[in-house]
Amino acid sequence: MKVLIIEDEIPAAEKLVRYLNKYDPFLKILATLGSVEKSVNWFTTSDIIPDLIFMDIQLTDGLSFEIFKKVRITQPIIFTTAFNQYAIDAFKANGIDYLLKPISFKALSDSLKKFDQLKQNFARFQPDETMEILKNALGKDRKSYKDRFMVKSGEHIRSVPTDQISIFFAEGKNVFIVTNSKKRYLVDYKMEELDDILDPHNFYRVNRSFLVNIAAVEDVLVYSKSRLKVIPTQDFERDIIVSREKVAAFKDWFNGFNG
Amino acid sequence: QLKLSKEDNKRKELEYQLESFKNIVNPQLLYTNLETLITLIHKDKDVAEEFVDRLSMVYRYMLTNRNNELVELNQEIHALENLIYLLNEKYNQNISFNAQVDKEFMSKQIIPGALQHLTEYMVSSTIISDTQPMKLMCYVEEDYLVLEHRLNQRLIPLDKQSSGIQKVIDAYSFYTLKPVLQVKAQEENLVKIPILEVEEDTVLA
Repeated sequence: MKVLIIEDEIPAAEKLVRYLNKYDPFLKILATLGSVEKSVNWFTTSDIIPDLIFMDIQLTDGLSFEIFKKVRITQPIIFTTAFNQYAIDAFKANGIDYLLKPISFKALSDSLKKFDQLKQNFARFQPDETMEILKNALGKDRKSYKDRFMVKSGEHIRSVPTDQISIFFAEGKNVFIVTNSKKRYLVDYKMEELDDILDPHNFYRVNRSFLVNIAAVEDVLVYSKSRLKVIPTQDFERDIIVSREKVAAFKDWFNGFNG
Repeated sequence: QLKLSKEDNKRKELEYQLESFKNIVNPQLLYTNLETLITLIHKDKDVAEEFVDRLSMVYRYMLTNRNNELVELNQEIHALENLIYLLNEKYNQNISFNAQVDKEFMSKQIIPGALQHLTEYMVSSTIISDTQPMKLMCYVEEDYLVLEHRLNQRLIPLDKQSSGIQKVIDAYSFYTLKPVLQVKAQEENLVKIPILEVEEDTVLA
C-alpha cells in the first residue's frame, strides 16, 4: 500500500510514519508534505498515485481545504485533527474517517483495518463532497453551540431546546431561563459560562444579569442615561436594560452584524 | 406575576454551588500523571506512549463534556477506565476496577466527571500497595449507582485539597432530591449516586 502524509507538525508526522511502519512494514510512504503549496506541487508533478492519504487540517500555509481548490484528489483520505467536534461529526456522517490527535496506535490500526475492508466503497470517493464537508467543518460559525439545556421540572429532568429560550436571567448566584411559553426554570450555568456556549448570532448579554434571544426582542426603546430598554415579546416583570457600554455592540448585534 | 415553583425556591435558598467539579481541570491529577509519565519515558517508551494516549483521552473527555450537564453512564464508565489505567501506572497495577452494570442502565444519565472525581478522592484517601491492593467496584442498586471499595483508609489523605464528595453532592442537588450518600461500613467505603434520566416525552417549552 502506498501512503501520502500531509502534516506540518514534525513530531506528529514522525509518529505517524513510525506507527504506519509498525502496522505494516511493507507499507510505502511516498512523501510527507507540510504545506498547501508543497501538496499542490506534489499532486501536479507526481507520477505515483497513493492508495491512501493522511491529511491534517491545519498546515503551515493554510487549511488543507485549499488543496482541494487547486487539485483534484480522488484518493481516499483519513483526516487528522486535534479537536474539532463538528468536523468529526461532519466526516463521520459522510463515511470519511478521521483520527484524533494525539493518534493512538490502536485508533490508527482500526482505521486502516476499516479502510482495507471498505476499499470498494472508497473507490466511489467524491472529491467535491469532501471539499464541501471540509468547508463547513472549518467555517467559523461551526463551533457547536449548546442546543439544549437540562432543567428540573417537578420530579423530572427535561431538556429545553435553546431556540425556545427567550431570556436567561440571573438572580443572586442562580441563573434562570424563560421559555417561549413563559415557563421558567433554573439552569446549572453561570452567566459568564453562557456567554461562551450560546450562539452569539442568537443571544446577546445586555447586562450582568440578562441574556436575550434575538427572536424574543419585540422592541427596543431609548432609556435614560444613553441606555436602551429591551421590550421582550412576552411580559417580564423586570426591566431589561442594555448598559451604556454595551449599546453600540447591541445595535450591531440587533442589526445582524455579528462577529 | 409569575411565581417560581416551591422547589425552585428551595433550590434558590441552597446558595448553590455552581462550581461544578467538571469545570475544573484538576491540577493535582495533571501533576501526578506527568510525574508518572517522566518515569515511564525512561523505563519503557511504548508504555509511555500508551500512557500519553490515555492521558489525552481523559482530558479530552473532560473538555468535551465541559458544557454537557449529563452524559450516558457508559461514557463515564469508559472514561473512568482510562483514568484507572493512569492511576495503575502510579500504583503498580494495584487498582482493579469492575463495573457490573446492566445494559439497560448504561444509557441512563450521570453528571460527567462524577465517577472520576469520586475515584480520585477514594484513591487519595486509601492505602494502596502490593500487599493491600484496591478493588474498586461499580454496580447498580435500586435507583443508585454505587462505587465501592474495601476500606483501608489513610490517616492523612494524599490530596489535601480534595473536597471529598461535597462537590458531587452539590452538583446532584440540582437534578434530584435524592441525596448522594456515603457509607463507611465496617469494611467497605461506598458512595451512592442517584441514577438520572431525562424524560423522553419532552422537549419542553
